[in-house]
Amino acid sequence: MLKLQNIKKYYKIAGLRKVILDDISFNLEKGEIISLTGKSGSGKTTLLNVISGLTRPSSGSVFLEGRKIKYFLDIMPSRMRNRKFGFVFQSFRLLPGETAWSNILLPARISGLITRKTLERAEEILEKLGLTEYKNTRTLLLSGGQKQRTALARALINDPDIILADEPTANLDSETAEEIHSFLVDFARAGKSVLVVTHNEYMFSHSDKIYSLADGNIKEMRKKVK
Amino acid sequence: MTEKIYLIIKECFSGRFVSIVVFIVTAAAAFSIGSFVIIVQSVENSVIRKFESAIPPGEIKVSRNTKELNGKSLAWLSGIKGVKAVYPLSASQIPMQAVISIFGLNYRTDLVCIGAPAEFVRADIEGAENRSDWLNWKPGMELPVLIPGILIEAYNNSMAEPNGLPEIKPDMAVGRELRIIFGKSSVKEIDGYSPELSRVAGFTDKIKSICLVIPLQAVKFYNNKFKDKTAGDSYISAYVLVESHKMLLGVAEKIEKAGLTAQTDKTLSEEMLSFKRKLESVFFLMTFIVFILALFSVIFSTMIAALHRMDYYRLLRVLGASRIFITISLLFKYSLIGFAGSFAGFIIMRSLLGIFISSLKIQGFEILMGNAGSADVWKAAGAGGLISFLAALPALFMVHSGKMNLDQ
Repeated sequence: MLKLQNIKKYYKIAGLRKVILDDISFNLEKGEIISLTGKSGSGKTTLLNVISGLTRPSSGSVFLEGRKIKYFLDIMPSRMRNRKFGFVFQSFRLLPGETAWSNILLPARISGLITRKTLERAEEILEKLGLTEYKNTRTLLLSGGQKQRTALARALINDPDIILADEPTANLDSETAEEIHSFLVDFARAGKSVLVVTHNEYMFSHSDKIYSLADGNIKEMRKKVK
Repeated sequence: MTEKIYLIIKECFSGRFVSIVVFIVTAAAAFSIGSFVIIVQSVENSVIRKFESAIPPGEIKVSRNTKELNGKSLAWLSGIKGVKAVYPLSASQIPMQAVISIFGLNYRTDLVCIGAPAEFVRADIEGAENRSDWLNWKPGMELPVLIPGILIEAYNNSMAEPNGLPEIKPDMAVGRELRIIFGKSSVKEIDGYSPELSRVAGFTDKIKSICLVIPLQAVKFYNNKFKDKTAGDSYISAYVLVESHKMLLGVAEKIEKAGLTAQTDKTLSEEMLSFKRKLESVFFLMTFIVFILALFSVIFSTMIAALHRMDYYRLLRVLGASRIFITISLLFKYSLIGFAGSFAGFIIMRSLLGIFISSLKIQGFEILMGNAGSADVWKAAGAGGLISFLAALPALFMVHSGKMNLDQ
């Protein structure tokens, strides 16, 4: 599904090269959950940026469904982000002045077309996440858990193959966090893939692989015994 | 695609405060610059009409001196190196009268006619039919007539009011019929004089005399008919068009040496030229200041707006919007606001200037609304749109050089 091959990323700061990612390689298969952990500043978010095509690696390649990502004119990475990836963030990143419904439909609008099927799908997701009654509520007025569920619904609207989640439950209470985690696990069990930056034990226990990032180097901590 | 258009339209209605600021700035700029252009052109036009020799740049007005201006000298003028064209003017040398029915009165006056070739006055002749008649006039045809602006001005300033008559405006006179009687005046009558039906074909500022301007071949025809055959080969002046302005003085010198009088626009009073130049400089400076102020206001406004909406652009990008889409959204938004602002500013300027013109009357000064026509409104709006488009580029650069990724 997703393959990273010898990814290196460095920045030049005051003439000095600062290595953020150093020779990272791994695969994310269908139905798999990978948890990524590491200290703050270890390069976890940069790695997600590289995977999603938002940042170009200094060297190495990212392959999605066997196709190498090309960065020319930003067209391929943008389309890939829109159609293949769903994003969940720690800070939700919702449009506060707009309704949950409008937020959920945003990726579909970016793709250019909202069909009846898209709307039916949005209704289904809302129901599944228990958000139907908040459909027309501005996200500004929602609780943390409701906001994250709205963000999750937005991530699912274009029926992505992979969810990239960056510490999705760090701002939530344990009960809501568990709901979100179990939803991610269910998503993977349905034949999709999840790459989650987390420090959560529940997520670790359900992950197929756990990687730790430190000083730009990746290390496999544990592989799930099948 | 429809959803992308929806997002672009949504972008247009976002950040309304800054959008209003950009709208007002572009409207004010269009208002000011439009007013400056119209006023400076009107003032210049008044200066030219009152003080200039009416000789356009790149032309030499040639008249007789020690040498006669006739067919032979015209042929010689045409042969001078650097001369592009020669337009001779011939004056009627016979008694003449014009009978004009105006405001219900039959107005009869003695006058002279000046004959001009079609190429010389082509731009002033209204309508293709009049132009064709001017070029191909033959005895028996209705005579197209051009009226010098100075004649209308003389009528409006000195005849209209004392006689209780309304002023003549160019648009109401074109197409009006009159009769010109060749061979008869209030003091002299030649046997066989002939009244000819004529019509006003337009107005001209190229000839500054109290006369009527008619086709050159008509003047020649009536001079030959009522005077003698030699009269048809005599000209009062000729306009010599040179290939480039650089050649103007050289050609003029040659003409002077040959015994003819040569006048160029250089003969215009130096004081008036200096006044004209100063006026142009002041208005250019004012226009430049307004333009720069507007440009920087729009640049900073768009940058502030972009800064406020940075999170939104980042989110769009993360969710799959390409840089191209974000660029199009931003540029479209500010081009549209600039276009609308300039359009509104220009329309307001035109309306207010119209009210101002009707309430203000300065003798000999007329505000020319020529540069505020419908086509010019669209041009001004297009320029406003383009300026806002360019002014939004720094904001766009700021958006794209910012962190457009998953960093929180």
